[in-house]
Amino acid sequence: MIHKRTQAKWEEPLILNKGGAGRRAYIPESVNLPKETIPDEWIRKSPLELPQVSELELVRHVVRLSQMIHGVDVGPYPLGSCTMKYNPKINERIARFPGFADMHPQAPEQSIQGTLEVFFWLQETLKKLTGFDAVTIQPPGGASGEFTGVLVIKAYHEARNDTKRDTIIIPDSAHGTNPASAAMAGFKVIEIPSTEDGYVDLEALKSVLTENIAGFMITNPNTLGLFEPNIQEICKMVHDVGGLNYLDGANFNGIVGVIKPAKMGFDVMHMNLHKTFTGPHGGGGPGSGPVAVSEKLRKYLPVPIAAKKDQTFYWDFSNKKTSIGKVHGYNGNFGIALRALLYILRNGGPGLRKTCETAVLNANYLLHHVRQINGLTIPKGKNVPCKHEFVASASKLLKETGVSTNDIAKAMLDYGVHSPTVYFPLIIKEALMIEPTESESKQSLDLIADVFKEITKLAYSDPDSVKNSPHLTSTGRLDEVTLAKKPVLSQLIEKKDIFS
Amino acid sequence: MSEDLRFDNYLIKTDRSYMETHEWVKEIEPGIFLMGISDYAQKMLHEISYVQFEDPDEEFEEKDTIVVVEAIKASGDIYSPFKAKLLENNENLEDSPELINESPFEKGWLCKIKALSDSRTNLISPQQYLEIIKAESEE
Amino acid sequence: MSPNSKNYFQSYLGIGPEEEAEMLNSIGYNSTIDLFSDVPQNLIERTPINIDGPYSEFELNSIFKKISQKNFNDHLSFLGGGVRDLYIPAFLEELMRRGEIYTAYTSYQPEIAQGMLQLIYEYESQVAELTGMDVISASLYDWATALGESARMMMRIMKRRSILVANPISPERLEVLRTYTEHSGFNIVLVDGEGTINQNDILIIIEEDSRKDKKEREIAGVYFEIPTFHGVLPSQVDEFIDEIHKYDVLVTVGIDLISLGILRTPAEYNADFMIGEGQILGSGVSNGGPLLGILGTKYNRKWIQNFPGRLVGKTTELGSDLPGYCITLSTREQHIRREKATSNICSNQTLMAVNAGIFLAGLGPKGIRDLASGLVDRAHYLAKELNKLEGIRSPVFEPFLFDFVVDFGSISHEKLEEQCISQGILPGLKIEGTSCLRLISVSDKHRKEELDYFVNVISEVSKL
Repeated sequence: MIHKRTQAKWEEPLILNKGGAGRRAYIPESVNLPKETIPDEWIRKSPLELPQVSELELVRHVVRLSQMIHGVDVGPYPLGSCTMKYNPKINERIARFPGFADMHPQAPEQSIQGTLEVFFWLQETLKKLTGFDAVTIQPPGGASGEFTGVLVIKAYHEARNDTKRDTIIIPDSAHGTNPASAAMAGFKVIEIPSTEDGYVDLEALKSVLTENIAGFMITNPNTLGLFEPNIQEICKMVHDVGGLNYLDGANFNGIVGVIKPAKMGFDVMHMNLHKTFTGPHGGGGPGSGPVAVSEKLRKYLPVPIAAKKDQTFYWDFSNKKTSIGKVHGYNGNFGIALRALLYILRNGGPGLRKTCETAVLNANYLLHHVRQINGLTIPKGKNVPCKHEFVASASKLLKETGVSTNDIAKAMLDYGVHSPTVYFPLIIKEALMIEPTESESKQSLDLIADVFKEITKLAYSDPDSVKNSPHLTSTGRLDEVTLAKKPVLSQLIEKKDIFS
Repeated sequence: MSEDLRFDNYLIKTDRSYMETHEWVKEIEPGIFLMGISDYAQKMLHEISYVQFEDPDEEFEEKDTIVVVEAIKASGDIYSPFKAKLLENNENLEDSPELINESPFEKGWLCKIKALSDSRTNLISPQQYLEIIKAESEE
Repeated sequence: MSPNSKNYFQSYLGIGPEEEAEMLNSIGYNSTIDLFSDVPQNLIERTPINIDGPYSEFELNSIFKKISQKNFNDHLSFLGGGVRDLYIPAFLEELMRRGEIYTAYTSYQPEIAQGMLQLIYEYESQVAELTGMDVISASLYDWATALGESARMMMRIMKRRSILVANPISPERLEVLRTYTEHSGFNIVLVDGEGTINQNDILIIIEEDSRKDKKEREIAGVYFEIPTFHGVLPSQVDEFIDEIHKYDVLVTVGIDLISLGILRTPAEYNADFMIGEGQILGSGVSNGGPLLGILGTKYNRKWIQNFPGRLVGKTTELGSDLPGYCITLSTREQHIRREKATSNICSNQTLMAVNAGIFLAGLGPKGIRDLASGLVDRAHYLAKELNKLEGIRSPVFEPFLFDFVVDFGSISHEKLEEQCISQGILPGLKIEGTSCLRLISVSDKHRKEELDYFVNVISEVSKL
């Protein structure tokens, strides 16, 4: 029997419904200057019912709400594909240094030498880690990196007057962002099926490789956590018809420091600094999605790029004419880029290698234990070690007990363990995508395995108790259907009574 | 009229045609068709929360999306079986999308279209459709 | 000892070397590198990649303290143009250091993330209250990408391929808008105005387009900013928007969120969509990121189905009346709709939205009015004082709100920057053009003495 945990349950009203007239948490600095008026036609007429709370009320409110959130700092978070590793605290301190936190992005170059040095150092380091020749830090998230990367591919073909290339090939195991980014860039998308083993089907790939192919987008290690054994051949096949190869670096943690992606035959990749390099996930963001490319694609990257001449750093705009243009108002999420650089430097080459190997060891150790659990199966990767993550299926359990992947995910929450990513990748039925990361201890891996064991056992003896879980979280399951029919998306919608 | 078919707990009405992508299509007068989604499709989507219609009078090519049916964690594009003009949407679904779950073949119809082409190659018989869902659920 | 023999990284690993051996053994492997036996061996690096490090925590702290001090952040800054360096109250900084908040990811399991979801809903609700817009995105990357998304959304809804954009707009926002649209066959038509919106020309273009056959129509929407990029409050916006709507064309307006403490809201003048930069609500400018893209609209189910990115809503627990919060309408998003999604966005800027929500709650109705009118007072005082100097025109465009354009006359931008920086000032944003125009933005960090100091420095510089 393992210990369960009860999450805090504060019945905390909305901040808009707290407080009282005249209370003020933050009183802005006043200034001793003549009062100015604005044109009459511009004076606000609608009421402004923001909260009126004291500083303590507000602090208590947020602290209570924070106790109803599960983060990496609270417990295991094996959310596959998201790389929920530890977020080092030194990074948080340094990111708040004055100079980093309060510097305007458009200050003249001589006044932002520190900023430029951080960007430059990170660019150079990412080049070495990926084996590519040029890097932009501008994309503010992974999907933005993908959009940037596919636009670079488009620009490359267009510059060669090779305008018929209107299609991107994507395996059916890909993240949803891949087809979405390709479509946003104006490409058609062809999805190809995977083999029985979960790899790219070479025959299927061959059958769609034509002179209309602009590129091939793939995650490697793939979303099953498996390394594509034929990756070099795949990249060559795409190159042979004139296409380019794009690596989705979402799973970089499975190879970082051990394999340089450029060597596999890729032309362009993005990284997720918030996954591999510890940018805190922040409840959904900010992320950062730098893009690295080979020499021939350098001139299409967004500008400016940080550069160095003698001992002075500057913004290099020299490829402005050939560039795809900006993908962020300024230079991307500097704060996340800085944290990533700090993490990389703390590790160095030996540390990143150790990190990767440990992430892979932890995943294989957990896989070894999950494989033995009755009701769960590991449909792919039978005879090979996984990389940083693996995918289990609860199909058997569902058939035999009626308990689904979703039920398992909910039941796990009662043990203080976040659920894995569920129902993804789409090619595995009742999928549970599990990524423990190198940060977790042996005890915590054993705990995750024991939780799976206990829940599946319970599914056979008392399925309803699993189906009705969670019981110990700050709320039980929610009525998502009514919300989707009548979406109450703000208190203003409630006040207006739009759905009555 | 032959008796309705069943596979597992999915009903397949035999008074209409189907598409491989789980739509049903029923000719109600020459050249005029009603469309909806099959019992199997509504059960796969679970509780339907919203139906996204296109404007009546618009014309659609074969396999263009003519309606989108949305559930909580899935959505389904409904494709035009042939070149067609959209005549009417089932406006009852705007307030009561659950009609699709409750009555996929009758009250939960989606739209009325007029064929602008003679091609019927995307339509399959109830028996053929049964084989498709059989194969899908065995996968 | 060379840095490479250090193992400072052990702090971040969950298992020690002895445990590693034990775990490997228990699953039948001899060494961690054997876990890569499935990988073509020519791809595996034989030695660690040669990058800087490992560094100790102390070394990192010292190295980066020095690097941060190379930035002139202590200079008196008049830089704005979208982001603004405002004071951040201590309680906010302290709260944002809660590990429960910043080490969580997207609330895929709402039962264990109610705190996060409620914070997002409170953010959405307060921005709704401030702007009058019913539906507020849980966050996009920044103002510029929010513009890109909004333009694409207007074109999706109207099934047309062009957007009219009122110039002046920041060159950076315009460039991002072009990246988001022009590569995929959409058109951006720029309509120039003198400091403010050229309402006449915009209406002429729309009127012309409206005469085309329905299927041939091109213009889906119009985008303009209030105040404009040059700081100006346009006149008769209500009539302008009514006129645009008559031709069945949509409107997105870019706004300064803090200005709404005193200004009329986009809902009052009937804009369809509203975008803006949320960094000004309690985050640092942070060298340009992370920022917070704000997008809002009035309740219209068809439009909301076309919304990009995440939305959080309020519902109840199944089987009880207790409120609960969760991500909703996900079928628009990439993880479900894939190539047909309304946007590719996945990771967003949630943490900044949470930050903005707490900031707004701290300010309250009186605080945001005070903050806004304090900026107005500072800006107008500074504009008048600068205008007293010989050879300087300030402001160039009126009526203005917080930001204003100054014509520094015959002096070059380079000279002005050099002189000001040497005296501890960052003199606003350079505006491309023939004379020395700069956009001057004020902050609540500016006291009267500092504004006077700026005027004195300019007075000396202009005499050179």
